Amino acid sequence: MEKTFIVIPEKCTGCRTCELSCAYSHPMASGQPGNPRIHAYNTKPPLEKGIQIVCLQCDTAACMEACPAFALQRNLETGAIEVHLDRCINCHACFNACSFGNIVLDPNNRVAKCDLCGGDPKCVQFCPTGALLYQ
Amino acid sequence: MERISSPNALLDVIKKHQDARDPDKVRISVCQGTGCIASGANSVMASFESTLLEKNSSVELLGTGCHGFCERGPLVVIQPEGTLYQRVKPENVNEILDKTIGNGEVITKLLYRDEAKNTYEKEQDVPFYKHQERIVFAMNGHIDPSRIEDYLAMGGYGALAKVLLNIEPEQVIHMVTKSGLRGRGGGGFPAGVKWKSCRDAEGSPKYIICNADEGDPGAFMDRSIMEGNPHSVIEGMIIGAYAIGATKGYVYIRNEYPLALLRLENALEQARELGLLGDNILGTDCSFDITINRGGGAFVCGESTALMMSIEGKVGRPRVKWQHTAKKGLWGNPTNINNVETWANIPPIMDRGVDWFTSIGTGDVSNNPWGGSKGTKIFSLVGKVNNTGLVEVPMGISIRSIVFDMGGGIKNSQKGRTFKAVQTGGPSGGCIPEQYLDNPIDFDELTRLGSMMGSGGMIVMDDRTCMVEVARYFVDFLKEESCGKCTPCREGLRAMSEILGRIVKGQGRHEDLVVLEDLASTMSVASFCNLGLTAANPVLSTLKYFRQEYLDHIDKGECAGRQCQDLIKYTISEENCTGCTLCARKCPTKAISGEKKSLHVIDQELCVRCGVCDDVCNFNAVTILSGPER
Amino acid sequence: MIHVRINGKLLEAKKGETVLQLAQRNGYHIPNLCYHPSLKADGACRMCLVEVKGANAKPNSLTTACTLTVKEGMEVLLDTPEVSKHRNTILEMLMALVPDSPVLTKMAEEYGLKEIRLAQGDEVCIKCGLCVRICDEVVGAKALAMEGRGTETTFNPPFNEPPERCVACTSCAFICPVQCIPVKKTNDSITIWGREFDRLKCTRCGRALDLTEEHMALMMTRSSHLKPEDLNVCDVCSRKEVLGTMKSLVDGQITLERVGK
Repeated sequence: MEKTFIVIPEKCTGCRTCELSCAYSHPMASGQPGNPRIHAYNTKPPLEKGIQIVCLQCDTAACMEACPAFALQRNLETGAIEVHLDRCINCHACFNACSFGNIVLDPNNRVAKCDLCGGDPKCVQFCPTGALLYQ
Repeated sequence: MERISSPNALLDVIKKHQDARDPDKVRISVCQGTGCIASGANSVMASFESTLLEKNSSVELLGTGCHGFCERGPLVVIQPEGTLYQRVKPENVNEILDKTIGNGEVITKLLYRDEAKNTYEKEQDVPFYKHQERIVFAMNGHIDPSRIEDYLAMGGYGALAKVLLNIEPEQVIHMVTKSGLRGRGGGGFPAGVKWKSCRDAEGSPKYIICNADEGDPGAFMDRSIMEGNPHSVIEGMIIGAYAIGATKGYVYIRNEYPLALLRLENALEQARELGLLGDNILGTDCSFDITINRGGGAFVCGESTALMMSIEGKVGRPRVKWQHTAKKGLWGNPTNINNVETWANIPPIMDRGVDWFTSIGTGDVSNNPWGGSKGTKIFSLVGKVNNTGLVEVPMGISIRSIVFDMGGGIKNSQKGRTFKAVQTGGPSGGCIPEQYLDNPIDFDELTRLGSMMGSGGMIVMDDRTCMVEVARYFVDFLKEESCGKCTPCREGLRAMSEILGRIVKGQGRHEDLVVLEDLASTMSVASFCNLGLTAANPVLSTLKYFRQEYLDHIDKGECAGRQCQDLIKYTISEENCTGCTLCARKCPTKAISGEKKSLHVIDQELCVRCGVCDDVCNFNAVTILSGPER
Repeated sequence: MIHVRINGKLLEAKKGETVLQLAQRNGYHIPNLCYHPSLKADGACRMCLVEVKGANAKPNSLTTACTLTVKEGMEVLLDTPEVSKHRNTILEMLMALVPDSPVLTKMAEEYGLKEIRLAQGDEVCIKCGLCVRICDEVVGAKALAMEGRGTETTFNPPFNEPPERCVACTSCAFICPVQCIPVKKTNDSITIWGREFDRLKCTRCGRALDLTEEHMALMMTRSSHLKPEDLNVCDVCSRKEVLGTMKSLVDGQITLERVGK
């Protein structure tokens, strides 16, 4: 893993462009956009800023350990833990296991999580303020 | 007996027992096979015992395994002459002892008498035995299966001693391959090829299994081998274990075979006592022991992977063979599985050599173990034939010879019954019609005829057998016994059973035959295991050879075999009825009325079409109508 | 690399993979009902029939793609007339067993099966056994069993009673190819196989979780890293907690040293 995903809350305005770009770059089987796997929260005044929450790709990942079907596997090139939906049995164990709330449920009730877009995160590309970096 | 320390010592022990056995001694052998026991052999045996004791006689009494001629049991053979008495009752015992043993007189009324009223004195002259070639059954009838001494006295375990002394494991496998011995359980896979791939496979421990889950209706040769000569199976397995390098063996035996189980357990105990099983067999590096695993009565557990699942304690369903079971079988280890009869063939091959074995049978196996069928095969001859029982015949013999020479022809031929077909290979076999009676029987020929060797069931059918009903019977049997895993077998059999059930009721349609053929062809290519792959054979072969019977059922409501109850009507003919009242007395529903010496009449409302009237009528007055005439 | 041709196209296969896996990886569709990538193939439904040539296959041999391991020089044909004939007969058998399944009806349309000539049953289950296998081999709850034999085979909890060992993960219902296992979810409970389970509530906000006490206990047997205090918090509250930590960081209330690295 050469690159690291960096969030810079100081630069974040909470515009949620990252969420939008994530949802559209990960459509469901039906073609509809999925739910975003990154979250940007607008903090309340006096701090007029945003904070982003995204998967940490933990070294000892609770989601991976909870999955009975080995449907979560680490992509050795990007370091991302990816959901292999073909193996997934939809028991939602990973969803419950993640203590950071970074596994999300798509509208069709299937689990999803940040996969670093295979090495080219779209949220980073679209962040207007440079609050997300992947380097 | 004492533990034997080396193969040479075993040879000495065998020699000692052989010398001790006087071939000219008067010996009474009473068949103690399940068939004869069912017809009262136990009380005959007990009667002999008590009478001999009373008379303080030194005559040797032997309770032997199955002689094969089950139709005529209980059987008693007086050695050394070999006089065969059949259907012996306890009350005959005194007469036998007084006349035959005492005076050397033959009691004619107890001799076998064929349909032409010829009597036969000696066992070996009876046509049923005369045409047989007994290798596996050679000792049945001569030894007491509960005594290892008897087996040793006949040279038993000599093959094992010979193998352990002089033959390398590879050489044993080479011999088995060269002998052309093919699996007697039905598959016909060359045993040597299987052994070699198990020996070469990586993994330890290696297992060998004896498949004694004989489940075909009407087949009982494996049972008779285990009942009559359990040591031959054990000896075969020890030689196999030595050749393959296996350390553990299983006999998977049906729990419905209590006698075979008992005799096998007893034989295992004796073999262990002598050091023929266990650690360092006869002081060599070869260690091997056998465990008995009792089956729960599922037909599908005769399939190798289902059997292994069952031994492992799982549900007996076939599993995917990612690799051949010889490489990955029981608990994922190399496992060699053979049928009882295959194992029992091993000692004679080792003892008498490959050339002797290949001199019997068909084809040429010198370069290709698939090239022919060698040795003998035991068939259980049942159905509408005069002499039912077990026959061991050389491969290549004709069906006619089995049915007519040994079987004595069709039962009730004087009443006009004629041969129609013979069903071989158990429920998944096929029906072979008259035109192929002279074809030689071997693995490949039977398959070519649309049937199969199977484990060796042979059901003879006469003209009073409805072939549609036969197909329906076997399909229903298989429907009950299908494990339910794969769609073609489970659903195909269900659909076939429904269709055949309609046809025998006269509610069939022409399209049904097309559907039957479609189902059958899919089942025969797409099923998971051999049960499903062959399950359509009864339908396919009857459709092929007896299509007209199906059409008659559908078009005319006529059952050629006069068997389908919904399509037949019993009547009594005016010309033949003598008014003897026998049928009226025997009719279970009192459907027959009529005065003495005048024509009897069947009330069709009350008649349940059981056929008792026809069976009992001595004047052929009962006729069965079907189709338009009904 | 092993070279296998599917419908004439040369493909590179991985050692030990099955023809079905190879085909799916390369975008070929082979119909199947009893296969799931998280399980070892069972070969029960027989829908994935293909024709095999070469690599010691017998001539014109049909076999199931899910149980066929790739071999060098193997040639696989997915849609020969033979394959399609037998596949349709199998589909016909299944549709006679389960007449009203939308999944099967769709398959019939796709493969041109027009008429069901067999007597129709009224079952809902196609008896593929996936539910039992997933519960046994993957989930590990072993709550379901196969009962009976042959046409009488059923898949249900032992003795058809509410299953003692079930954890209401609902994977069986999800994986069922004909969607015949009913699950009822209310805000308070999950009902499956005739047993009603209480849904756990988020310890922070009280929202109903997609989790039961039993499922949580089973999950904790899989890894010692999974703790109840992490499992019974909803995803929103989990993120709120992270948010709080991050906010404190940004506000300068917490220094990096205090939250670890």
